[in-house]
Amino acid sequence: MKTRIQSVDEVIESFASQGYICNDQIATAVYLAAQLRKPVLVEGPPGVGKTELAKASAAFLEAPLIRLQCYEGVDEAKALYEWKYGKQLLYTQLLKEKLGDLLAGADSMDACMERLAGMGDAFYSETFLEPRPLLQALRSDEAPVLLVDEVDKADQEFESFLLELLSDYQISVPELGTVSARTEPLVFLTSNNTRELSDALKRRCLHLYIPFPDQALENRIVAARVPEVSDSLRDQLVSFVQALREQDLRKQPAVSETLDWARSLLLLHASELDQALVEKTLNVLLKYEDDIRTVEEGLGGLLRKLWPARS
Amino acid sequence: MASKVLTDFIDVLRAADVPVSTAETLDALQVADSLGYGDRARLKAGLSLALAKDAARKRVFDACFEQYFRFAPASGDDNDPASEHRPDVQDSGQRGQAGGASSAGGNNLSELSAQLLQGSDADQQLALARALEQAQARDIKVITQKGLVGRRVYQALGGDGLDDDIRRLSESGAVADRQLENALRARRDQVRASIREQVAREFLMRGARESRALRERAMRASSLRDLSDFRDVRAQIEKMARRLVAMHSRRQRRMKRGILDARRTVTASVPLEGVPGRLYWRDRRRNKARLFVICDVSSSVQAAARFLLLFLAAVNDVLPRTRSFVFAARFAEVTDLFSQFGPDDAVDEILDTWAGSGTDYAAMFEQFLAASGRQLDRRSTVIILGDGRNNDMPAGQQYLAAIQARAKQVLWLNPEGQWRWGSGDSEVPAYRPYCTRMSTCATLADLERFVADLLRALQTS
Repeated sequence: MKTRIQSVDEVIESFASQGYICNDQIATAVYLAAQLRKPVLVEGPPGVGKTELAKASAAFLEAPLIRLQCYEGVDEAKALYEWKYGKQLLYTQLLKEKLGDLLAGADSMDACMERLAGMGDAFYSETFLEPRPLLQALRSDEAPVLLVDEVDKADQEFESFLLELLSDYQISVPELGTVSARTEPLVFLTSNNTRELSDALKRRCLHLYIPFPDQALENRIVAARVPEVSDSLRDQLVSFVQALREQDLRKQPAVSETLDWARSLLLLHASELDQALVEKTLNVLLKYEDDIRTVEEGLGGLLRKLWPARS
Repeated sequence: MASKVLTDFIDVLRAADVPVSTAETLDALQVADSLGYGDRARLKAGLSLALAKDAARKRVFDACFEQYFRFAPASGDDNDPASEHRPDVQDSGQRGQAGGASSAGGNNLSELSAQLLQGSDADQQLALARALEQAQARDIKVITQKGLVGRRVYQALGGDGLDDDIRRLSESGAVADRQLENALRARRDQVRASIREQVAREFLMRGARESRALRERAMRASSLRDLSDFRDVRAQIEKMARRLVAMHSRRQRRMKRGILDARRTVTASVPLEGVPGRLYWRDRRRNKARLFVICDVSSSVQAAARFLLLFLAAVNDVLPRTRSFVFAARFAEVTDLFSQFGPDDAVDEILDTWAGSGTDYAAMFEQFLAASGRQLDRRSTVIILGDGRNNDMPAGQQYLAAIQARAKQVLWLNPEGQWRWGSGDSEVPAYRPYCTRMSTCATLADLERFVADLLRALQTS
């Protein structure tokens, strides 16, 4: 991992060269997280680039990205480590005879036990250990970027389990003892706010809130991601999406949907937004039947409001 | 110096109800160290990362930051500006007077006057910041102190010298002096205005917390009947309710246990050669509890009923299915009103329609039994709010006994203090044996305790 970041501007530039356009706030968060070695909790509506941020940071810092996707019921076995049970069983089967030979001379139970103990913890050793993302991150030789995605989907217990990792970059495991990070990872946690995270977790993190981008920023994002779209069409589609976000919808169109829409319009060789075109492609932006119907009803008015000159 | 500015700012944040821990304060210091104070926007972004930890708090943080860092925080050195400043002011004041006595010229002006006429804006702001510090404007606690503190700041700034100058000049006959006087008067008005503004700001940032805390305490302890005198009761109730909801939604989650998750249990048993050493559960148990709320809305206890209904509506998220009834002269179910209107409007509507006098508890119990007696079971909780004053009619405790026999518990909230139970036409002694618990409910604090106990009881059942 790159050890020194010169300035916030360096972050912005590097992100821009990867096509991740961000504002000062986001760049400051990455800069500070790397300087202070603190985890970052990223919150915001879905589709504003929370996960992308971790990926861009990994590319910027030239560090491997290790990702842990959280879901209801994720536990230590999925997040930290597991024993390779199948392999253990297979080995015992295969080694049965060998074990028999080894134990052949022993006549009493005690003697057998003693010999077995002499063999060491053969079956609970490195060979049979399956490291999961968190352990991988701690044992990685090169400081990685660790992304704990959608931590709000995990249970409360798992959240508490993360606390030790977040504050000291170490985890206590019954069979292995305390595992400390060889090199401190840069941790990103993302949350869609489906439930309130505990204060204990928030206290340990820097908290970054990414809202939907404003018009200028979204314009730049589209320009960076879908450069083939003409300037005038881009202006139009971005201001249309911005206007949609002000309406009362079940799910507001996210940045990723703006990008999809821009690509669709490109495929349709559109040069200008008109009512028929918007109606045809609205399902790219809106994912609920209700929303589509609401918007279609007021579409004429909305377009006239945006571009009064045309009608 | 810088750290003083920051910890001061954190005080302001805390005053605005943004909780900041000590660890976060240290983070903020580190943030400021690594970003520097050069770029305001970036400092704001950085501090926001370390100090404000959800979207709502970010908004409060932004407002506080704009308020606090309005002019440069470099308000002089830390070596107590007061000590070196005050003699100066007195000095110049005397000089001003002395000058006035000898000659009526415009050249012997006090320091403040000179600064007002010649100094730059920045100098004046700096002087003002010092004066605020010196007059301890930050300790302002209640709004009535504003005038006093403003006066102190004006004096610390050297206002007496300025007043003297103006008086002296007005006595002089020279045209130049009169012009100077007018200029100074105009400046003095500006200075006073900006002092007022600054003091008001200090009060908003700091004092407001103290007085809010004071008012909240008063609000919780004062009788429900007087509560309509407070403007922000509603906000207070919501705040209390939010805390309870947060507390109890967590508890509920911990208790979920239900059907065995066969797939996971079997998978987990493989390494143990099929012995299910650890059990996994699939579903949470549905909370089948039911709540029946009966409120007396006759004029004597109306206020209590209003707040109980509002409170229950506010914690609705963690309550089981609730049916609400009200009665005074008539008895009626109002459950639907709550889903139809918001809680506020529903309560207003209820009180408009059903409030009155002439409560008859016996008839009410009888009608309640007829309307929903069949639904009462071992998981039902019946809450009755009323003073039990039955206008000398038969108490009808046998109906309450019937209710108690069917329900899990009957809780009675009495807005009257315990010493009045049973006095006059109060039938409380007759009802009391059939209540699981009867408690006084005269203040918001009582109400909060009752709802907290209720939630706890419902969830452990």
